[in-house]
Amino acid sequence: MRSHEPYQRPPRDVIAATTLATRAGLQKIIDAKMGNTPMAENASTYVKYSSNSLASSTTNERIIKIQDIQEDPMLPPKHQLRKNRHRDPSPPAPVLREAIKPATAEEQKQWRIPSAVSHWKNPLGFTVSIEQRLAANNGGTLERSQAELNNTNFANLAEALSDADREAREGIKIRSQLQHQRLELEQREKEQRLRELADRARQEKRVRTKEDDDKQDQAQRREQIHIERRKQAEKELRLSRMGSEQRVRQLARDTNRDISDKVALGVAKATGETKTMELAFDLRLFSKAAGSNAVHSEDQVYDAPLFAGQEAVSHIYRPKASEDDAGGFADESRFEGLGKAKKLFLGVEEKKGPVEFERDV
Amino acid sequence: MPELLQYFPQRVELAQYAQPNASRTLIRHQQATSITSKPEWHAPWKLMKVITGHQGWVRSIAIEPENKWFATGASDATIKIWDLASSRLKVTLAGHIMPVRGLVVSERHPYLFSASEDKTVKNWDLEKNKIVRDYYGHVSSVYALDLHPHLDVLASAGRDAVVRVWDVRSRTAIHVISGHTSSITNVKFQDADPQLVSTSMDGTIRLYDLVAGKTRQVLTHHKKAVRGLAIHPEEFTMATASSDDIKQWGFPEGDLLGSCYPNHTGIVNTIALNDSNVLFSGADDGSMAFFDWKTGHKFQDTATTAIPGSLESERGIFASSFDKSGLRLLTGETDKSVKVWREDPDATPETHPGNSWDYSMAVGEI
Repeated sequence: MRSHEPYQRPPRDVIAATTLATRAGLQKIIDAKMGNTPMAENASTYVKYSSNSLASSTTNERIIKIQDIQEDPMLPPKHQLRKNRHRDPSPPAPVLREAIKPATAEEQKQWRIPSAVSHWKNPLGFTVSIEQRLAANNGGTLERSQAELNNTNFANLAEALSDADREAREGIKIRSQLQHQRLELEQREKEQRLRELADRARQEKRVRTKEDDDKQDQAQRREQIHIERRKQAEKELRLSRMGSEQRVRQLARDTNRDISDKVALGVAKATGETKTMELAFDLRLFSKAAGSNAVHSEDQVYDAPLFAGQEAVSHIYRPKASEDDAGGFADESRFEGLGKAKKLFLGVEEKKGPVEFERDV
Repeated sequence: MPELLQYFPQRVELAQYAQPNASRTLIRHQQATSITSKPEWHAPWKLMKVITGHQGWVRSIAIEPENKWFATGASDATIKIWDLASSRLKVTLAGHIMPVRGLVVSERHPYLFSASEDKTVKNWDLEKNKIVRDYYGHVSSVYALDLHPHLDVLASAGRDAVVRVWDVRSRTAIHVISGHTSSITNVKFQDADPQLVSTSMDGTIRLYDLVAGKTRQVLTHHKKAVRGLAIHPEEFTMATASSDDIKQWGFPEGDLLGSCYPNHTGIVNTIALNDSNVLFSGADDGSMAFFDWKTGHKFQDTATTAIPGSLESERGIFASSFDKSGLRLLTGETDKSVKVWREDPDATPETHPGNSWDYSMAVGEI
């Protein structure tokens, strides 16, 4: 640190002199810029102008005064500056500091920030290396993730977990084996018991059948006969209640003959006869007009005109002004002009009826 | 010249001052070797008051010449005027549409000048609290503003890398001084030549010849962008702050006197100097440092306390100014507050010796 002693503020009179000189210098610039110097005010020049054109033979002379228009300095600016157009006027100053060293490769490496990797989003489907994923997990620093990976606690935890898992699995295996053995034993005992029971039952049965055989035979035979008779009786009753058609069919079936409804003779009825005597005709035959045989050209889409038989054509668009049945409006003149042109084109007659089109020849 | 001389009868002194260089360099060499003195003791500075009211970063502070009130400009595009003693809000001036980056109060008129990022420089009449003039010409944000101490001349500069010198009354741009290649961060006037100084983000400091509208000197010693500029109120020296160091300079030639190392973790945004030789530097991470001006000794390291409820990141200092007495320090901060600091009244050199004096730092490389 150098001494501050020599750097004392100049005395007041020096400052006053500087101030005065500065004021004078600046005032000169301001005056020149604002155009209110006495020189500028009286800077009117007189020019003698004499016209001697060839057209007019007389030369006329006049004196012209040229003066700058004084501008109002308080007016707002007329245009907006958008660009700084000033250049450095002086030669470049010598640089008095030590040069800034460019960054070395190592420094640049230290400054490198790994790109952000998300575990949740990867819309473009880029393959993300495991290092980058780890770095993303650890706030973007590879070092930290490495340190965490090298930590033995991870290995300890993983080992303890796998040990516990193995033990648990073994326990489960032993327990399930024991259970299985117990179940098998139970099953075997059960089967043994059932077999004994079945044997006993069979022996008992064998003893009992020898006693009861004769009695049972007779009773069974009687019951069968009884059932057959009842069936016969029911069938007869049903036959007696049937109509003739049904009975014929039944008979046919009994004799193993196959007959349809209509073929059953004397039984079938003609269903159509009683209702209508009409015959079926092809309806297309009716719709054909007399001239339908005429040869159709390709342009002719329809066989016949739509309103061929009608008088409809004569009624369309045709005003009935002439008719007397116009009601109460017939007398009133104010309706006469309606629907009629007031003025006609020259050489055109007034027409009644719809607009007529003429074929262009 | 003859009409000048009638104002200044002591011609001899003027002549002496005109050619000071030869003798001065000699003195400088003698003194550089003889500085081994211990730094002056300064009481530590303490937070005294927190003033809230702005709704954005407080980016500029200006103290009134009579030391009764001060004005602050903020990112909420307003200028607020506060009572210095009671810290009560006196008035809010709205007229800018973007952050107010520069403020200066005139000594000779009831005027306040403000510069804003909306490219405008405005002149407020404080009797009517209205804008009476604006200075049209900047093509980009205006970051700095200063008024000549004796003349009605205003200088403004900003992102367009041009210093504009305005005539206050007629609004004419007297000079448009180009030269910087990047945003200009500070512009300061002083009454002796060089009357105009500017610092820029291109890392250079320029001293100007005001009448000619030209650069007199370019100081290229800083490595990085220069964001802070303070002119000593009594000495003929100034300090400029880059992000790595604060350099001291002697006028009129721009001699490098030495460096102070704030060792801030953040970027030094602002510096302030008072007449009892205390240099303050505030960084954008809220760290603060106080230096003894003569020796460059950092006697105190602190940090601002963010207002409860503000984020950790909202601890930064944008603007700072000592009041006219030099007993209070005002800082404009990221947490939307203005903080008032003062020296600890109970401190003595025994109870508060401050950081230990590192002699090697002071005589080392400048």
